[in-house]
Amino acid sequence: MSKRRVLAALGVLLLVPVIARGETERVYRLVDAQGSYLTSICVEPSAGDEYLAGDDRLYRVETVDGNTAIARFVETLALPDVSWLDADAAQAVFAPAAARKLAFYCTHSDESFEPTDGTYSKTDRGSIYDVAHALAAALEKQGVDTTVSDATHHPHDAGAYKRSRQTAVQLLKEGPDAIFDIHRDGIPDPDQYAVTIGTKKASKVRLLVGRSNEFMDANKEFALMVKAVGDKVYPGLIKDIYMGKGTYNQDLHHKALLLECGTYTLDKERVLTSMPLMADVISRAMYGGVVGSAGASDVGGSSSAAAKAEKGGVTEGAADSDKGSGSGLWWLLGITLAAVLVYAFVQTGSAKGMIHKLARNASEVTGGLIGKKPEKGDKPGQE
Amino acid sequence: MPIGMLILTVAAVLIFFGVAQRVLDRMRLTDRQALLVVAAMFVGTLIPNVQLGQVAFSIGGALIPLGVCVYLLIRAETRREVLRSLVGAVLTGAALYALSALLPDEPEEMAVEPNLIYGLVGGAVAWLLGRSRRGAFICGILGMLLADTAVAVVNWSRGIDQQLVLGGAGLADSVVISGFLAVLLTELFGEIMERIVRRRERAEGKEGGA
Repeated sequence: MSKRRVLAALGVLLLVPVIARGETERVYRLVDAQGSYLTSICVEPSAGDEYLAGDDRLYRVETVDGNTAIARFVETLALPDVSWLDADAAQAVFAPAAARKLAFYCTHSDESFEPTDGTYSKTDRGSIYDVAHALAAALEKQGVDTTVSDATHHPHDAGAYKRSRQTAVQLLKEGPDAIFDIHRDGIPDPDQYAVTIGTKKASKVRLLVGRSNEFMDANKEFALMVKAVGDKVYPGLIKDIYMGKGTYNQDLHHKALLLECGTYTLDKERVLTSMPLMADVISRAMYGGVVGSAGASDVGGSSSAAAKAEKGGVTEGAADSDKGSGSGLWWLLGITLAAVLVYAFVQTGSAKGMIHKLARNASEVTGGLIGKKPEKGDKPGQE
Repeated sequence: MPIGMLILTVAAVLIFFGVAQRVLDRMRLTDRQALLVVAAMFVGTLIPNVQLGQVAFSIGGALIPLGVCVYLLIRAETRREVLRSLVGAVLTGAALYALSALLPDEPEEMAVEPNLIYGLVGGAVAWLLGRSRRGAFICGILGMLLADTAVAVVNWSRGIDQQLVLGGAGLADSVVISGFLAVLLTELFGEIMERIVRRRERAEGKEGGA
């Protein structure tokens, strides 16, 4: 294709009017290998995605056919041990907390709840911000310092995550222990999210983890801890965990989660009812219950946690967890090495040239500390 | 921050530093100047944005990359090079704006990560306009800034009171990523095409000789 044709095609692209958005998001069905229904999801499934059902059965998506994804059962996952919660309940002696900070933002600023707001999508600030503020307010009552960004990221298009990335980075400058992107789901069936916890008519919360970044394992571990605590303290509150192809800006922090708080066909009051419960779960999952006379904070999930808590001993919380850092480092180094090798090989066309180029580049980047110093007139890359 | 996470974060930053230094090295800067610019962008990411009414500029994510673009335009050898870069930036911006509307809303529905797709488009446009690495950088950076501005203007025209943040994610912003990726892509395309042409010429030479 000639340059002129391509440029003409680009010109035509400019004339394309902004496409009207569909009335609702596309909903996918997840079924197991036998065709039994597992769940509905508005995230487009891809082969390799993982789904942890409410009953801790882990499935991996193998094929996607239209709106149906077939997922193979992998195993029943053992969630982190949270037996320390029993000790916590027995000895609720709360001590002053160390600096605890969490941050919240809403990528899809339009998201609202149809029964309450009369629309599922607002052009200014959707009521999803009320949900984020309710969650933060409940956490504040538990002694956690919170920041909720009221920044909006309109329109709800492909660039929304790009814009909310800026908000996330601004929030991270304050050094929070974790950051949450608050959403509501786009599944039409409200019964998928409606739940009664105790006597309260509430809403379930789905956790979404992106699996295309160096922090994917760390964030997955964090999501598992949240589910483990939720299942123990408020069974039914945590709907499930979906680990999808996207990044969702979770490459910015090792404790970053996307929360789907209810769905658009659910009454907002139900979702707001869930937020104090969710705050309790997040607070415990992050910092643990402060137990014993020593004021120990625990959420480690080790088998000895309960025993330590009973003695007032100190155990580590999820905020201090290193889980997932090793695999993340290998992932990062592997991707980088592969990209560098491919790039150098394509540029030079031979293994020998590739090695020479890598040595020369290493020398230039490190000021001659590593690699081969370039010879005179051997400056690469200049036009 | 736990030590493992700290190591992981530092590794990611160092890798980015290395890539950024390699890219800026091709922008009429010495190795040391390139490293200084990357360091300035890093520091600029950490400090607060500059506010001008409804517009906020990140020092590391917008002002410094913009400064490098201006430097490149001033140092351009011909007026044609300047014009080509500016036309390329406008075309890239228009293409990126249209892509935002045309692509699916959710990241998982895109074949390529949204943050990468803009750089790929910037690189493609720049390459089509003249296989210039410096042109690619200008297309990637200015194109992304123009596309973001266009989104804000459309929002304001619809009565949406939303701040325009340019390069707000600093080094992690799509402005920076698209500029760097555009250069790398142009270089990669250029090398592949040159090799194809050389091979074809060699084959034709052999045929002629026979």
